[in-house]
Amino acid sequence: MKSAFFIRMFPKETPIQLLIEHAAVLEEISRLIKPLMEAYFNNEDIHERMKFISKRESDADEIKFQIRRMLSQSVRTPFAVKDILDYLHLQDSLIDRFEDVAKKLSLNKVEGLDDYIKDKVMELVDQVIQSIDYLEDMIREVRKVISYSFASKLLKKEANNYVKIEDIENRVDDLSIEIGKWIYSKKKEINPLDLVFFRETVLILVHITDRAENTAELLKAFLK
Amino acid sequence: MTILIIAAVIGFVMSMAIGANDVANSMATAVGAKAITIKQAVIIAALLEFTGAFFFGKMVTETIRKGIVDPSLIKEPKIMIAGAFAALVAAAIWVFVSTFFALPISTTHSIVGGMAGFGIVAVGWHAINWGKMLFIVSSWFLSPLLGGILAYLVFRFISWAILHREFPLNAAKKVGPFLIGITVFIVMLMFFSKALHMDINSKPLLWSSLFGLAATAVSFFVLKRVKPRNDEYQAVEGIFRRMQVVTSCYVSLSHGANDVANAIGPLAAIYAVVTTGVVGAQAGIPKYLLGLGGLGIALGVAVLGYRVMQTVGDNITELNNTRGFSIDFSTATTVFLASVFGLPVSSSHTVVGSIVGVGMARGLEAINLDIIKKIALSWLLTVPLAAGTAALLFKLFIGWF
Repeated sequence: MKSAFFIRMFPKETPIQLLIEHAAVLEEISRLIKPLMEAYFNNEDIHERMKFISKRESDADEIKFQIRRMLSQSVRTPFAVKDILDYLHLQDSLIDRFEDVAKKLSLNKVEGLDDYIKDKVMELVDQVIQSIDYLEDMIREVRKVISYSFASKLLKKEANNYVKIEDIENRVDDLSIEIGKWIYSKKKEINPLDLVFFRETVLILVHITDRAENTAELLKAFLK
Repeated sequence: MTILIIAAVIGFVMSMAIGANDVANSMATAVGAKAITIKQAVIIAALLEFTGAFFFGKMVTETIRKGIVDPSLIKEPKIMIAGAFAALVAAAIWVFVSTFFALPISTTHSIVGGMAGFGIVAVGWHAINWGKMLFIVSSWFLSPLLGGILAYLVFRFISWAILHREFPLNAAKKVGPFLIGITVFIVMLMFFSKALHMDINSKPLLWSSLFGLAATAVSFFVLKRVKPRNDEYQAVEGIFRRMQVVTSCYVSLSHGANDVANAIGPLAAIYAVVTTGVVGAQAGIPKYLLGLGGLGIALGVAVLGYRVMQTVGDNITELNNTRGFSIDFSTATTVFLASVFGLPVSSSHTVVGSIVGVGMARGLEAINLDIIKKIALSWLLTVPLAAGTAALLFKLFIGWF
């Protein structure tokens, strides 16, 4: 039937829809980091949590491959293929970074962390989750942006979300300085290897927000 | 007379196949955009395909009947009968091949190729009206191009005049009626020109304008009552959902007008020879032949269209009504204009052009351009294959007559 060409021309699944699904996995993983971190601070076993995050990371990879396959099969969107692939790469690397945090925490237990630093790290985690929430909102809104033909009202909304991520990134920078100061103040009390380990973990979280900002910036740029 | 009955049966079956195959061209975007239900789509398409075929199908049918092969060069009536019969059967074979393998092979291209194939074998290369053929073939490139350009412009206009405004709903209430008015104006102008055989001068222009203005006024008052919703853009799509019902009718009408010729053109050629006993006599196409084709298309839509639309509705990305409107309006206008000039164009290929046009205007979330390659391939293959099949069948049939 010639109707088959309509079905082929308008694929039921679109690269944008899959990018949103990919972002949903990112958001889910970001939310899993908080209980994982709490469990770590409470000296609980985090192995199962880490395994679940790795499983979801593999699911996200599947979506990533599906998007790449689609784009190589002449499925076109209002955006350049390169822009979508660059965006996908950044979004996927955020998921990888969360997985890195989970894996890293499963390797070592840092002794001597006080309530002050635990609160600071949890505050940092909250900010990271918030930045991912805004990013997920941005990609979710892309469908609407296309639907309404890139109307300036919707582009402004997207730009506002980007500004919010930028603000979070600034707060995270401040937090990282406070956490850094605490780490160096403990150089005589805590095992140096533990301190390096702890610092590296915190830096991964800080880099996630940096990267979330870069990802949002790219999205904002190709929406114009 | 027996041959006329057999040809009428084949022509009727073929028109049914055209109706079943091509209902997606006119209704897929409307069903995909949830502007109408599948049942409504089937009823509307069946009625308007018949109307289009019956009232506007004559010009293109004439082109198929005597525009491709010069009838004055065919001396014996049996050659014309065998040839038109071979072209009809060859095109029918390709319709079923395209149906079976889900290929975007155009019935139009098949029938044109079929008529050319028999002409070359029966009389020689000089039997083909190459000037007309060139015009027809160029229309196959021009129709998707024109559909694409028109769709691009229409969607850009809708974006600029409505979607990018501070208050899109208010803008849609003002602009929408004019778009409806333009559609009605074109349809009425075609009606006066093709169905009532009036020359396009001030009188039909005046009447068409009056109908267009009336449609503008009515839709203005209807759309005025549309209430704002939380999401203003959804309300705009709601307006275009109603408007798309009109453009879907427009596509069905234009499809009937253009594609009835694919089934009835060769039949008309056989009819002319059988009833006058000579080739090339000035015999008009009787209305009942166009009616037969229209009935076949409508029946094809009614019997098989439901399943086709269900498959389409379940498997394609949900389309916005603004996009559906742009695609339908551009496809119908292009196919309708082609019908006025008596050009048999492929409505499937025109709708693809319109879809690409909206895609180029960044209007679609995703389109698979792979189909373009397949269409290009079908352009290269369909005509020689149909011509070859018709030539072989002609050699076979000429011995029987």
